[in-house]
Amino acid sequence: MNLVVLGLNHNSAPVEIREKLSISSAKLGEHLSTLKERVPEAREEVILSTCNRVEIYALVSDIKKGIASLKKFMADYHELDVATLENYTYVYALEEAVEHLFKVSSSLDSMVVGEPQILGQVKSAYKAARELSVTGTVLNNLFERSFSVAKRIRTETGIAENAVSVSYAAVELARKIFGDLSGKTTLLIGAGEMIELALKHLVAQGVKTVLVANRTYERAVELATKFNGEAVHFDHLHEELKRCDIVISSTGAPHFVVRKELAAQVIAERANRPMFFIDIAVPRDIEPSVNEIDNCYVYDIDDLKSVVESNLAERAKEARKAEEIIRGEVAQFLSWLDHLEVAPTITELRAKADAIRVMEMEKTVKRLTSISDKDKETLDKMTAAIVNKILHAPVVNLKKHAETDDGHSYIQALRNLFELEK
Amino acid sequence: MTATFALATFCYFIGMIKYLLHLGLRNRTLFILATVMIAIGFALETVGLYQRSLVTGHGPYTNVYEYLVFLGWVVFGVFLVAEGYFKLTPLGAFMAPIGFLLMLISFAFSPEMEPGLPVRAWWLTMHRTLSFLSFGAFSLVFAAGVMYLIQERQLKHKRFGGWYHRLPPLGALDDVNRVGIIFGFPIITVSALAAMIWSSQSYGKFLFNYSIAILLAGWLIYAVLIAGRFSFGWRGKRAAAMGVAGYAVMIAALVIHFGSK
Repeated sequence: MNLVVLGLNHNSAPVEIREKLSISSAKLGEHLSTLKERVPEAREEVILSTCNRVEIYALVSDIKKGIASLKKFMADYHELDVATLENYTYVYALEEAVEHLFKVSSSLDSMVVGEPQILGQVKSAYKAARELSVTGTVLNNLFERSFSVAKRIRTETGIAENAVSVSYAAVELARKIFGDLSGKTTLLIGAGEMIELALKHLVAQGVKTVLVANRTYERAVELATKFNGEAVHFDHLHEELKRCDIVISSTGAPHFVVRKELAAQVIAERANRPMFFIDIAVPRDIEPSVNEIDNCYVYDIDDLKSVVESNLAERAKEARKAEEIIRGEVAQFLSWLDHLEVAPTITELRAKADAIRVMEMEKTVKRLTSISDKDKETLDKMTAAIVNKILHAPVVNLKKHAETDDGHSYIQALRNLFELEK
Repeated sequence: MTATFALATFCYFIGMIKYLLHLGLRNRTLFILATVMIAIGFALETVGLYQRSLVTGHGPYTNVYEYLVFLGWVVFGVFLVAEGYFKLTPLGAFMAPIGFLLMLISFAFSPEMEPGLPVRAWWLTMHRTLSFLSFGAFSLVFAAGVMYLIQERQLKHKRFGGWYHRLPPLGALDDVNRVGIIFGFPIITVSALAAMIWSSQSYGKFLFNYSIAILLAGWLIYAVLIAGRFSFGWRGKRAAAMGVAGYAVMIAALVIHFGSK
């Protein structure tokens, strides 16, 4: 019983290959059944297919043979030759495979480290396999455990804490300034795709009122309807600014739309309630010196980009902590796996030895014509005792060593020495 | 009782270290353990103060040792309530050191008890109790102010070091400032009035010395802050800075006051 992974991801394969090999969720069941059929030595299996990765997790008795058949299966299924496939795939076995799954589930192996979708994708891949009963004790435990590892990493590290897109970074800054965003008012000046994206995030965070100002009032009305907001006249900007906490600006104006004097006046009229200006226009709409006014915060597009960079660096730091956690969890899982393997290994060893004994007994008894039933019984007892005595020490030692770190290699060594196959 | 206080101080120390570690590592377990340690320390200290008052027959107001221990108790008490109420995880890293330092310094003073000392004046006791309570509230305002100033600087200068990720939102910190002032200011005002009544009753005049002058300056800062806050909308950086400045003056007043004992 050995765990192997055959897979490809955004690092190992270009998108042309990934899209060719990806499996839609509708076809996943069929794919699993075909795998079961064509690779009968795979005792348990799960197929994970997302837009960034395709991976087969399987439990095989012989690692090399198992991987070869999985590769052949994958190549055949997608009409590729194995050599081409090998250019794009990676293979992990045993503890590396466990570690890999833990990393995938907790989003350490994702293109954007810490992204939240992958866990759900792994969960549904596992569910699909489970429903078809192609998983068993080992993969069930492995996947369930990977979910709890992912959860643990999410709560114990800051891996998913900070925004890694410009529009979400703006929302995060707003939260650093205001705390709770519910009940806050946002003013949009101008229009644009980015503005809508940032606004969407803000609305999701509970921003209450959305005002839209545009040089052309009709365009403002159009955008306001889209966000259930309120169109305001551009000429009334001063009045409207007073009730706004967050201002997102993206006009094509060649000059500043909000100057320092205006902002200073507005902030005084608002009794110093903070204002957050998000300026995504180039050339800029908000005079940069507005940032010097107390309780005014101005971020332009470059500032937001540098927030994203700093957040990515922060995530990378947190990822190292996560790897630490994973190492511990892998060790725990392996020790569980070894325990699982000890009992059947001992049973097989005993069965094999006894089979040899019985066979040799029969051969000998056939040749000894004059032997009495009583002598036969004595002979039988004696051979059984020899087998038991010889096996006693290996069995005891195996049980003892299974608890240690290299328990797995003990089990494997024993299986190889006695040629125990399964 | 001194042993109980020592044990409580030890718990505070462990709690404080865990809060500081939590600030760096942001490990949830560390945070919970830290709060538990502080709560245990607080419970121990409460028991110690109670036992001591049974022996002395009065509150912990008779010497510098008692003042410091009692101040530490108030700081941790206010902290525990504030942490539960505001749910600001980094608060402990800023407030626990204040309480711990007070406890630590108390060891430099003689813990001797003065049993049977008559409760001299109701107004004096009132003054002392209230000024200690307000000290707790102002410690909270101070801690929030320091966090605010750091975070505001990060946001203004657009430098996103470790602090940016670790400190709470400005809005939440400004709330702490508001609530802390709302509680602290009336208490210290009543406390000052109580002191005046007591001094005029026992000496026939208002006492005036350096520590009272400085205390008055601190009170004035808080008075300006609360007036500015509620009539001119002073909030954010200015409120935070005034909270920090007022606290510095209060500490100076305390040092001189205790020094004169």
